[in-house]
Amino acid sequence: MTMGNQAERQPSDEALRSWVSALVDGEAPLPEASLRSLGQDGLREKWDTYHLIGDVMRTPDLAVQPSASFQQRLSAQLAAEPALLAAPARRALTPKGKWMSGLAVAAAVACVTWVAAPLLMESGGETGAPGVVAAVATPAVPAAMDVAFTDYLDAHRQLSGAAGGYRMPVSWSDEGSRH
Amino acid sequence: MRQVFEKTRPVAAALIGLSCLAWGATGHAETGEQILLKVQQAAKQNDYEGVFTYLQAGRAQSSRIAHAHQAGQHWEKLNVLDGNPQTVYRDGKTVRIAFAEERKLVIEPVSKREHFPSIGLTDLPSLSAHYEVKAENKTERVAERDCQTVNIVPRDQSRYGYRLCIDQDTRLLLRSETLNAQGQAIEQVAFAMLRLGQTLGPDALKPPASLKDWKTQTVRYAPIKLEDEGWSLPSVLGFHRVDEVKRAVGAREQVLQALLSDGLASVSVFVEPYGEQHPTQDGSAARGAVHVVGKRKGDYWLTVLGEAPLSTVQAIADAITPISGHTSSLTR
Repeated sequence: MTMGNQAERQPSDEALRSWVSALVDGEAPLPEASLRSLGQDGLREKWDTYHLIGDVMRTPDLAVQPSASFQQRLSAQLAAEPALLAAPARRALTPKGKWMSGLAVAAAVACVTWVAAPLLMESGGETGAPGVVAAVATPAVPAAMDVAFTDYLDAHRQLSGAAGGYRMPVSWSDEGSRH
Repeated sequence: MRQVFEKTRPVAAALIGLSCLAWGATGHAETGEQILLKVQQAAKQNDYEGVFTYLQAGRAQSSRIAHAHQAGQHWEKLNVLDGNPQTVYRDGKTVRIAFAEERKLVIEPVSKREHFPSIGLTDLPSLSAHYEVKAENKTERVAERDCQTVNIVPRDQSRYGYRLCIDQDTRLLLRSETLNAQGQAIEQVAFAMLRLGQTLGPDALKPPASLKDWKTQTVRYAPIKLEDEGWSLPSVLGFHRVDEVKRAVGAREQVLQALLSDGLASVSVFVEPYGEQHPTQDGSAARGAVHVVGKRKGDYWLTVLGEAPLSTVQAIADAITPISGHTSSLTR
């Protein structure tokens, strides 16, 4: 596959190849009619190649298994088709997906603030103070406990003026695991 | 220095002009402690409006604040923008927190200690004993304003450090980061936007008359001495008592609360009769810089929490002991 071939390729071909790539990545549906198209225009070969690329990417050990001819084919593919490795379907989704998940997290936090706190806590992560805190994730007490903490935090804020923020819950880890 | 100025007079003149502007605003002769006192004044004596965000344990909470002062009085209105809608109205005497969804109004006495954008200093000698306050010759930019970095470096690992950025013109605190022993920010509060000068007048910052129909809950404290209540608590790791009250905490009607401070950070100790609502095991919890330790002591349950490392909060919890033969006034 040369640069010349790439330039001459039809847009429909490009779309199909993108679809094959997405399909291999599990990001495109697999309608029966489309499956038949794998038999056309040498796409079946590409399908196999992309699967191998995917397998190699997922399992480094596989990289030593294929034949020398495959290695050559893969090298050529990598050199000529960097865009294919970027998985078009995923690329299209990523910016929007990240933003949406950000919003979802914000919404979830807003709910969590009043309803319940996570029942597991990894203190190192929570405090950002590795080495200072040694609490380990443990099954915690019911969410009612968090509401109780909110009261104490509030009471602390009332006298101290500080205790940043308002009404955010904390979760509980038991003493037994803190050694 | 003089030689350099003589050789490059025009540049020197420009430099002097610039430094006058810079130093005039920052006053390099001031000690770090003096700057902190000015931060407290600035939070009261300026009119401002802005949005600040707390980052704590991976969560963010933003609030819009408006502050006005007039003839020695000041008013503040704060809207919590994330989560359950809350509006906090403060004047010199009272704090009113309006919970819109529940149509509930919580009325609290105003704290003797300050909150953001001020600093919760209790006393300067303690502060100086436990922290070194270093005004850095460094300018940063926060909320479109130039600010000076001030590092509050703890003298031991029993407390956190702070990195502040203080507005060069007004001395308003624009950003405060709480730092752990590794120097990592574990909590941060910072203005995202700030408008100074003529803003909303005091009337716009007072609670609206419509709140009078809401159900009201008033927070009251009765001053006490822990010893009179049968408990002893010495100073621990530089944290000494600055307030002791008997009060309600949520549904618990009688709880003793002692506030301890090292001059800057504060930790609360709560003592109440042990009951079914308490965990069966001692434990701890964390949120950002705030650590909580819960501990059973005979018939009582102790809750200790504050902006200090867990080891410090734990040490304070371990230092609370009942005075033998003393009958507590706490009722279940």
